[in-house]
Amino acid sequence: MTMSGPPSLATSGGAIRVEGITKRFGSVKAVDDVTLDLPAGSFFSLLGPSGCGKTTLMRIIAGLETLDAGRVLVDGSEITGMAPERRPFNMVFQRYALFPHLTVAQNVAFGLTTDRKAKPSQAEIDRRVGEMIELVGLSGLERRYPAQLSGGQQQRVAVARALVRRPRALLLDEPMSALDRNVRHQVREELIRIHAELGTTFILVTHDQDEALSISATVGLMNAGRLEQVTDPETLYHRPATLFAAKFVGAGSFLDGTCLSAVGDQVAVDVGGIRFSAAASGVRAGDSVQVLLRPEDLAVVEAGSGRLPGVVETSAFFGAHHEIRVATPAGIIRLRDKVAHTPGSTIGIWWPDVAGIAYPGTDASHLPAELAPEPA
Amino acid sequence: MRAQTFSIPWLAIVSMLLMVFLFAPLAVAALYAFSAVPSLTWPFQGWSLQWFAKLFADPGFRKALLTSFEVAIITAVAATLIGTVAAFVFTRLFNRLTVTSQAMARLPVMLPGLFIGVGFVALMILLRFSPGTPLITAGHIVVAVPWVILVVSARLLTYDTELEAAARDLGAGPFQTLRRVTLPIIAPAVAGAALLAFAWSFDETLITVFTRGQETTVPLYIVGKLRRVVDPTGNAVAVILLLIPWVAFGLAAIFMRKSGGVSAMMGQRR
Repeated sequence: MTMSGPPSLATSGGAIRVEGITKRFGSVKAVDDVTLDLPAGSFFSLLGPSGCGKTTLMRIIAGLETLDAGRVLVDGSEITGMAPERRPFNMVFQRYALFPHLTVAQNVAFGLTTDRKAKPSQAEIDRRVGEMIELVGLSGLERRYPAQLSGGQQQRVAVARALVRRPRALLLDEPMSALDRNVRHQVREELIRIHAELGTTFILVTHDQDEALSISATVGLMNAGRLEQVTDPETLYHRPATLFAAKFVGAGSFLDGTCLSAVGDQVAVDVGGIRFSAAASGVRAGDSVQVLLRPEDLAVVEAGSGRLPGVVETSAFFGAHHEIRVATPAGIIRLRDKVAHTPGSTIGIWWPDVAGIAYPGTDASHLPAELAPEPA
Repeated sequence: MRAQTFSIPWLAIVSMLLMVFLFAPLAVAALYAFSAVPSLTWPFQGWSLQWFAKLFADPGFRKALLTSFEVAIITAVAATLIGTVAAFVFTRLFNRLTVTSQAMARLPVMLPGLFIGVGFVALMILLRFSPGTPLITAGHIVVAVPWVILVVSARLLTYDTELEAAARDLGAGPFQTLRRVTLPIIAPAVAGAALLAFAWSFDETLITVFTRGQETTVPLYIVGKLRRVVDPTGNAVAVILLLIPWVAFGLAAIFMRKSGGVSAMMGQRR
């Protein structure tokens, strides 16, 4: 492989558009009228809790699942009814689905030998398989069987097997969920490198927000079959568009309050007598609101000072910081501090005059149970 | 603690006696197949293979052996084909029709052979179909198919269908997926089922009595033989009858153990 990277590995195209996709399983809408535009070469993550329809949407794109309504287009041409074997996409399956009776090299070569009319010469197959195995860093393991590889190695074989066909898009279905935490880190960096090297469109399905936020340029957050928000990771974290997005992405505390007045994108809120300003959109004066405060918005101060007093419930060590759960008159608040706090001790919590984001309503019925706010 | 060390191992003793009771006749029967004298007398008079030679010189036995092989091979092939297809249908399609036919397909295993034999005779008379090798084979296939379905279904239930999705995703059509992915992976179970069907068919006596017509299979040959004269050729047939299914069963066991899990299968390959 040359330093500049061989042009033969790079792919062209890969702009994917899905339009109004709906898929029902019985009476449940697994995917509900989803429309999505992905430019060629993008690294896109579909993020969401389990059962939100993200895997179903990906399998519809791959042609492995039928759809009830909608269209799938690649580079402008419709492929909605096309058989999976004819689509220009390849997939990395959640449990890799490597062929157990074939060696690493045979697994990777499989996709090059399926089209009898366009089958490359053996020399060409060997060359491309070798290239791919080198790209994913598995040189020397060509003759092993999948059962003789570690989870991380199997995952690399799955990536090489999918990429060898030079797909216009690589679809990754929870590719790291079966890996150890340490290996995950490494694989994440590998995927970013391979994406940069090839320029192929990557679509990653994951329930792990860290994975989605750290790896992709665009994240689509899904909830109950619908796309909740499509944006870049920073916006998703700092300006989640909906209460669901705010609760699913990142850590935070949610305070119930009332909107006093709204000026542009800023609202004045009253949370149990504490008044401050927060960012918001679509909130009017008089509305009841939930205010998201990220741990980094908050600071621990002397008991008796700050905006809100609280009693420490738990304090957990996370290396760089301690995560503290505090019971306050305004509800449970999660924040961080550099030092540990004894459970039962009283502290003050402070935040600036402008902090957090206000969301309309307190109705959390659409949230999964573990995300719903605790009863006061 | 001490008392336990000196207690008499009754369970072991009873088990040993049972084993002797079970296997002693087999051992004696096998031993006299190699006897040097025609009478079955104790003590054993010396070794010889003359009874095997005599047996193979008998055209009646050679014909019976050929018939048995013919029936067992056709039964194994046909039952494996039918049973494997049925196993696919029963493990992949779930509707009223497949569930009902699955229950019905299990039936022959639970029916007495006598019942199936009588049934075949009735059918034969009704259809004016003459007994003989084809009918013997048909009777065997009816009972062998459920066994094949059981063995192959068991394998298919643990088979990860994502492998097929992966093959399709990599450009293989449904037929190529079957040929290059599904069949190679379930092959050990299918081969095991075929050997099982072969061994069972080779041994089958009861249904064959009703469907044989003028034909003779090895088990029926030995029955006829022992009725007339008791000399060690009967023992020699018994040894052959014992060995062929045992070899088939042994091979089947090896194949099926290999297919027990994909990882187990791969672990034994380099």
